[in-house]
Amino acid sequence: MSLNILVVDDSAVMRSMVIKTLRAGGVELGKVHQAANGREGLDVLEQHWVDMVLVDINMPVMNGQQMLEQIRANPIWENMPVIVVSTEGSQTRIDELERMGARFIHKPFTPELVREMIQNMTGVGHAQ
Amino acid sequence: MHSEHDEMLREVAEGTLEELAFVLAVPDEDACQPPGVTAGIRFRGPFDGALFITVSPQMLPVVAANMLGVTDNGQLSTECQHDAFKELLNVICGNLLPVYAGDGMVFDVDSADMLAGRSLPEELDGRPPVATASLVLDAGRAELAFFTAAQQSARTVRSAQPQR
Repeated sequence: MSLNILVVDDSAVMRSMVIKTLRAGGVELGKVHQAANGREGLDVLEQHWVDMVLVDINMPVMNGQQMLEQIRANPIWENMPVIVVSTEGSQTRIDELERMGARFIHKPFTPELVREMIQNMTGVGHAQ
Repeated sequence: MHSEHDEMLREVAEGTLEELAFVLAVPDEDACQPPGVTAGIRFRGPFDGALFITVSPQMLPVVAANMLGVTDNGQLSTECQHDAFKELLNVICGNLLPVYAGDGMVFDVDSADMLAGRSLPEELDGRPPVATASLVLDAGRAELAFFTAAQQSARTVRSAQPQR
């Protein structure tokens, strides 16, 4: 089963890296949506069916934590699997994100790590 | 002579260059600031500051190609190269802050900017850098300068935090 994903990062290069790493990890992707900040990401969620969100923290306009708060506040998205992909080094902030139901991956990350995390979160297996 | 903070900055920069951009970096003991392309990033938190990096211009397409996994770096636009360079700086900064200040402190990191000048600033808000590093890369050189506006050193701030 393929995953429809949303990748949110203000760096287009990093968004490409995330998507390539997911594919390299054997994650079967359906529709791949991209957004450059949390506000754009919420707009995508309102218009498209998404199975999982991968989001950076430090972004202009609306950061990743603010976007996650909005996601959890919406009954339609409250159980959306969210992976925070960030350089965030504060354990205080990481703990807060995990209390909001997100999983955390530190940049840079390996295909194996993200594959395992997605499999644990969604039960979706590898691409054939 | 290199301070503890210089070594900290050098190790984080070397590790990030290798893991993110697949660029091997070693210390440059004969540091002299070469002409290069410079980017800077600011952060805010228990103390504010900034990190700057300058690299040899020929490194930009190499870094971008390595990060994107493409073999023909000649096809990458200047915008793409700058995006990759700024993201490299973002990751170095993000990895440096918990090493420097401890993982209990929360910082907000701004988006990185390309700088019109071609060299690292020698001071920021009237303060010299807390740490500097000079590296020899596969096909060029890199230099970094880390500034903070802290009235106290990070070590003093860290030691004042409740121990986990």
